[in-house]
Amino acid sequence: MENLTEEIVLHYLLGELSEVDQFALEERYIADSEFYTLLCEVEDDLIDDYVRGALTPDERQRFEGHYLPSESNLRRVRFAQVFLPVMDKAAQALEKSRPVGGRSFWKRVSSSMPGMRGTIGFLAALVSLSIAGGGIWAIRLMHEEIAAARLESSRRENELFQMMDIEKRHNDQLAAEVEQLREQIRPSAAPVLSGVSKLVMVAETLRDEKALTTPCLIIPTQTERVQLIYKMEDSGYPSYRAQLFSSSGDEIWSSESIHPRLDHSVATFTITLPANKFYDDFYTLAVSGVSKTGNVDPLGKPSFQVEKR
Amino acid sequence: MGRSLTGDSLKKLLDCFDTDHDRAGEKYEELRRALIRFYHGRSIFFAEECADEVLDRVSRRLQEGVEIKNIYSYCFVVARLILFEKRKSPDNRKVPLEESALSTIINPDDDSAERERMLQCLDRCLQQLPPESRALIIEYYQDYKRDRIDRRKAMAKRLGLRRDALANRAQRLREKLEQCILDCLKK
Repeated sequence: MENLTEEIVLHYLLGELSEVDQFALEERYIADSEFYTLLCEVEDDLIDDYVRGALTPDERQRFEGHYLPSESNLRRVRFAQVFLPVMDKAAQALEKSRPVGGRSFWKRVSSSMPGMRGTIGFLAALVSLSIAGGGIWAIRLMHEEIAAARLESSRRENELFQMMDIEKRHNDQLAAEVEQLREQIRPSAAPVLSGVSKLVMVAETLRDEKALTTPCLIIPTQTERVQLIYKMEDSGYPSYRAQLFSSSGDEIWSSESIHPRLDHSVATFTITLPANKFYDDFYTLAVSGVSKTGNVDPLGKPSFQVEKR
Repeated sequence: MGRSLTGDSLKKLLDCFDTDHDRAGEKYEELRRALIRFYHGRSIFFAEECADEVLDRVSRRLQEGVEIKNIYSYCFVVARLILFEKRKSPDNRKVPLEESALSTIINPDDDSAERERMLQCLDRCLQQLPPESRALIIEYYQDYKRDRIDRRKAMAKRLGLRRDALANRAQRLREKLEQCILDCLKK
């Protein structure tokens, strides 16, 4: 990101551009998403520098005089005043939990926070979060941290062996399921069990490279029900949304709140529908994660073909 | 998306952004965010409603058969018109912030009860994020000045992202946390 451009954006945020220049800059960030990202980053950094006391006295005065007196900007600064100390403490705690000769920061951070379960690093981060806020968890978590530190070396070794076993079982399970998927796409093998046709679909991130991209579900005439089984990596959402569309875009089925079955990091859910809802056609299953705040994030759109015989 | 947009008018508007429907939707949302930012920056109340008004008016022009060659320039022209209308409106006369609101920012220890509530909400909101997102946001917002620039460059390289793509991801996470805290405080 160019320094000159950032300087101009800074002047804009501090109200130091002429009206003509303001409009020129605004037109640019409305039309150019990369420039808009730059503007937001300069703004966040300005707020953060103010909260951390890193502005010069002159910059501080200009910030408090122009930027601060606005409801929305006040809200953002208030957020930063809470957010930044927590982030700083969490970062320090994670640095301290680094083993000797350790891994990259990213690997340390992501491996120290597997899901919601604690390693020493995550416990240390929790302790730091609580200390920073003077919150109600502080005393309890400090005791846990001391106990966890004593047990860390032997528990870590046991954990690693357990993780190796789990990963091996997981890989074996996925290999079996991929093989089952391959069986289903062979036209001569139409899986019908008590009037039910099943199709297992695996998300791209889990899929074996040799698997065909568009699986085929064979529905013999006696079939009463169809089961679509979808497997994906658990993305940590509290619930998921799924919609089934025909090739013409018609919605065949949808559910706003799916809670998949979790097996380690693999999430599985099953949709059971009457067989008469399907025709010889291509179908798409749109899967999205739904956060607690209601934000919907698209995760995948696997397609499959149906042949009725 | 825009409240008064019908299916057909929305489709016409989205077609101006991209032929691919999904990409068009993303660009629509990016534009809407930028318009909201524009109105916030100009101290206009109800910035979201103003942004929606821009998109409604542009959509109506498309329905009337107006040919728009550059949708972004056109939206900006309409945005400026609405800005001038709002400035003249008595409803948008700038009301000075209360001294107490400003002083709690400048002297944060003056309002420890509110701060404590925000911290509890932040703790809850952080735990709702996937671990990778939590890790990203912790690392992204460290350091000052040159160290911060270098750290972010290194992060982008390590994650295989363009610099602006990383920035975008971090900003969206930060906005998500901010909104989550606001929602939590209302409860």
